[in-house]
Amino acid sequence: MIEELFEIERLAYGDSPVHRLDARVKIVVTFAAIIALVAYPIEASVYLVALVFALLLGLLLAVSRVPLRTFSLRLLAILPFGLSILLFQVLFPPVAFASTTVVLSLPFGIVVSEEALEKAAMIGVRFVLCIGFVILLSSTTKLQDLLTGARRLGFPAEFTLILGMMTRYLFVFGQMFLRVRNALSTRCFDPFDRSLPYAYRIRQLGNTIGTMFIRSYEQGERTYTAMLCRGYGKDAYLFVPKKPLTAPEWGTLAGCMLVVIGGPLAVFWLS
Amino acid sequence: MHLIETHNLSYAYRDSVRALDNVNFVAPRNTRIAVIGPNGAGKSTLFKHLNGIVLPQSGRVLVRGEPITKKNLKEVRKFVGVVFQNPDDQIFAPTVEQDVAFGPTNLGLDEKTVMHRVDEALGLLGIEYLRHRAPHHLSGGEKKRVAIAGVLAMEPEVLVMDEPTAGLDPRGRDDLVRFVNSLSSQYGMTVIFSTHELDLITAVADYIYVMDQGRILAQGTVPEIFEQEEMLRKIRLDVPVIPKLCRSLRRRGAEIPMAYTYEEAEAGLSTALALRVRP
Repeated sequence: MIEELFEIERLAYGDSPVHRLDARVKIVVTFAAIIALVAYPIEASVYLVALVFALLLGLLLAVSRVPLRTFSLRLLAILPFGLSILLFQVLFPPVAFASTTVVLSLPFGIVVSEEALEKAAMIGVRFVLCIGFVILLSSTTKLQDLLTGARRLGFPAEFTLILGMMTRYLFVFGQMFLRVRNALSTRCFDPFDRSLPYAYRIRQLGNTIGTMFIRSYEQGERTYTAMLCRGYGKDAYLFVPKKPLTAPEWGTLAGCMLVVIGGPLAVFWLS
Repeated sequence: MHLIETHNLSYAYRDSVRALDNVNFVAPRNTRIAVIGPNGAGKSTLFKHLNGIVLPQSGRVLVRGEPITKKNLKEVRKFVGVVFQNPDDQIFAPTVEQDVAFGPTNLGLDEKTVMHRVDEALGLLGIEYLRHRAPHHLSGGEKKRVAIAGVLAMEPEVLVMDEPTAGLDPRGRDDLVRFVNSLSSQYGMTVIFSTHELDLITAVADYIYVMDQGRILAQGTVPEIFEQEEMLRKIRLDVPVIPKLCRSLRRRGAEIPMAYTYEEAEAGLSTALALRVRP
């Protein structure tokens, strides 16, 4: 399972016009799309807006050549979170509707109404599209580029430094875990080996996790000392050189923003 | 039949260059084998194949003439003990004693046998005094010895050590050399190790494999390998100081015998010098 950790960024190392696009453009477009989708009132015309955004997302996905399978799998992995929100939306609508058509009556006075279902569907569509944009961003942008981009957009240096170190050490500890696992199996330990007593296996696993904890703590201390040695202090930040956007990048940004802002406005006025 | 053999063993990590490329490696009984090569040559990957931590992508690994399968994995790991480079990856129990007991317990031995093996292993490395200490309070050299004891307690017939001298002080290194030699001479074990300390090899190895970019570039006895200075330099290695000195002196006309170990050189040089001083 831990091997998957090292795979997580592989897609982002691909090459396509979307991959090559400056991270800032991608971050701005993604957030603009999310804000536009969430800001649009929940009414029937939201489906039209959704269609516009879906077309944009589809176009970008096609250009980026992110495999549809990977995209869908990642979407599926996040979907349960949205579904749980929708479930609450259906069962316990936060807003009382003017009139309701009861579809299903459940015990304890819980009622499922047609209006609540409709609203849930609209929220669901928005949710899927928002996540879609985020997945596109994460599948075409390396973590480091995301951080550099965020930094160039004015994201506080404290956050980018900490996030950067977090991703760095995520991989360090992933590798450490793999080495520890090898060392355990070299001495014939398998946590699923039924010939060993259950309590013994649990205890050894506990010891392993405890040791990893101590080691990460010590690693943290060492890294911090090393950072201090290189002048780390409250004003320290990661070095990010200035880099102006190129004309095509400005063009792409303008085009996408036109769709993201103009699309919903046009639909709103027309309907 | 050799204890361990690999036939045309190849392995590539995901998406990367070949870590092993058609490796044919043989470990006979009671030999001390050094595997040398620059960083990233594939030494560690080869070692991980020897006890089935990594299974071959193509080619074969035979342990006592049999390929490693799920069924004999436990037997293989009991037979081939591997000590990894960083002892911290291996030592995890709250006390040294418990850590050394870990392997034998996993083999399903009873408590009395386990304790006996712990005593033996700690004694062999001379670290009985560390018995009740917590591993994270030990020094680097002590941790290294605990890690080796933990594997020896499983009583393997082949001991594989990845960079055993990394981070050891000179005394620790000398102890290790003596220890490896005693494993071979007293217990008839086969020891396979990798190292960057070329000076060490002449005192420990019977046979050398030279690896570079996943391939075995050369193999042979100590004199056979250290004759090929050019090849070694090409892959960022070198000839150890003693044979290097002997060779350059001989090239300049000094009449001394070729020597590889300190003792040989000492004997050879003192004879030569003595002859000149007292004709």
